Amino acid sequence: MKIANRLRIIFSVILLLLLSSLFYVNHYLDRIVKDTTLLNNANVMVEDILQIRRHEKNFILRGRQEYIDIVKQYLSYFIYEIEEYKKITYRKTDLRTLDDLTAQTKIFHKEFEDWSAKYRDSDIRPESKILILKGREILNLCESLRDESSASIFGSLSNIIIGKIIVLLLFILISFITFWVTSHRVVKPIRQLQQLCERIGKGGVLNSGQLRLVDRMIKDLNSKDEIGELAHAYREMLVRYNNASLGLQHKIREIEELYNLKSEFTSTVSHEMRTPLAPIKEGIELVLDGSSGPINKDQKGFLEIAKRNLDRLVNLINNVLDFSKLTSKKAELKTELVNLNEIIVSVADIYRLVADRKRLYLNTDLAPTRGLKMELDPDRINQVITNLIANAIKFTDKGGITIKTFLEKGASSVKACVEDTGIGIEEKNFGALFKPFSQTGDKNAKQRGGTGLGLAICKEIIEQSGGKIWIESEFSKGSRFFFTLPIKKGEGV
Amino acid sequence: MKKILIVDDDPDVAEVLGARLGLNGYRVIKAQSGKEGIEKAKEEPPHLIILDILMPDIGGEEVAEILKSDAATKDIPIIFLTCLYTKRDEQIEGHKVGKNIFVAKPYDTKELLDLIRKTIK
Repeated sequence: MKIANRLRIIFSVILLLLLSSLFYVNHYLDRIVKDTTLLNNANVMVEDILQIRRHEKNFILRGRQEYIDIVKQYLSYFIYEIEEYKKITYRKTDLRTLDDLTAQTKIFHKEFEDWSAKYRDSDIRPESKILILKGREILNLCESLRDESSASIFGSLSNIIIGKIIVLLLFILISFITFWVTSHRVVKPIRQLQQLCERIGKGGVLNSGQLRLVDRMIKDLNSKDEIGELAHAYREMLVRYNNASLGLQHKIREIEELYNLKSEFTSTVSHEMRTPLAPIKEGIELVLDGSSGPINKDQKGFLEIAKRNLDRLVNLINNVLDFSKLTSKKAELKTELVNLNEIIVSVADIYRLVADRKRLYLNTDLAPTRGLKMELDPDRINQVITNLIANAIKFTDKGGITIKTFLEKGASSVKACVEDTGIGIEEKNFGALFKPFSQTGDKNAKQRGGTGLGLAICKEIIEQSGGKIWIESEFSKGSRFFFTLPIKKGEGV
Repeated sequence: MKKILIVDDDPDVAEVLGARLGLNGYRVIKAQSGKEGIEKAKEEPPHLIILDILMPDIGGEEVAEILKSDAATKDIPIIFLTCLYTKRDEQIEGHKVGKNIFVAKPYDTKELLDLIRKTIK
């Protein structure tokens, strides 16, 4: 059943109960009014009877005629009141009592008439006692009427009170049932659904066992209402999501496998390529250095070209191998606590000789970081700095190279910069710069050699170390390569 | 004259390296497989063995182990010449890995000769 229908029924039942309780209270209020009138009437009747008896006694004691008239008058009142009472009353027992009362009164009336007629003739004292007794019976009947009315009023009142309590209890019961039904039928499934959602939110893709669990939970819900519809829609969504996720996972796995295959392939190929290179190199060198006999100048020149290009090839293969090692999952940084400035200084000392040969200066301008040990792979960082400095020297013909480090107080990373006064790089080439095999199209740059992997390797190392690398440059005005390396907690200066 | 045994399944490597070592005053013995290498080492113990690692019959590392377990050959120094080891590994770790000496293929002739000279001494 739909929740809306269920709520409609619940509200109708509550309304019905309210109305019936209203009728109920009204009914008893009506009876209270009637009973009050009857009680008044009965009181008056009792009063009349008492008057009758008093005047009768007076008559008996004093024997004066006017008392008889008063008794007669009250008797007629009394009879009238009996008729009035009959009209109002709704109780059958009352009617019986009233019939008795009428009969008794008539008898009394007749006897009184007889007796008072006789009185004029003779002494009536001995008989008067009987009359008084009869009067008492009538009085008793009247009093019973009165008692009944007042009891009835009390009964009605208590009925109302009890009724109210019953209604109240009913209300409580209905509220409870409503609450229970609502919580069981509405809140509980919603909560179950929510728990399900949460679990799925956390767990990602569901396996078939979990999906069966979902099915069972939906079956347990066993609701054909909006919640049930929601649950089914949710299940539908879940299945689709699951299929999509599974597909995605599968694809990711495929890609990972492909990627690993690629890395493995690259690595194998590079290894295999290096083996024949050894005898080629040695063979060329054996001829070139004249140790296997003299060669002429042209022969020497050609062999030198062969050797130079062979060196380039070896270098390239080494870099490819290195890059594929870095980008495959196998490579891990071997970190230890090191000081960045010390690495920079050691590399700069080696490359100062190279710079000197090109008549370039090589300066360092390092922030004081004495005692700052960072968790880095010193060889890999050395490789980055070597690459950047070697590149800077390669592309600079005038001026020189400056290596700087920046350390702001409280900063979460150290920034370093290799600045040159070389040919610079156009901004449109910035993006491709750190991609493999992407030396700028400039012929000049091609002539300067290199494998096109150096910066890609640098980027990989810096990013794996948790830093960033970027370039700022203006064409023909030199370049500045920046990189950052993170300072972890507890590595303060 | 110091004797050097070259064990490499690639005859070209043995040929040119042998020529280079001959030019530098060493007597060279060549073996084309692990098995042959062990035999020749036992037959005529050299002053140094230059050993390839990837060989079809017995790998270089196993050859070294067999030689080390024999009293006659256990003191012969071994240089592993291999493409499993790269120039970068040399830069990072140096030639010595544990008790063994490694040289990457393709090797730098001058460096290799220096290393041989130091090892035999």
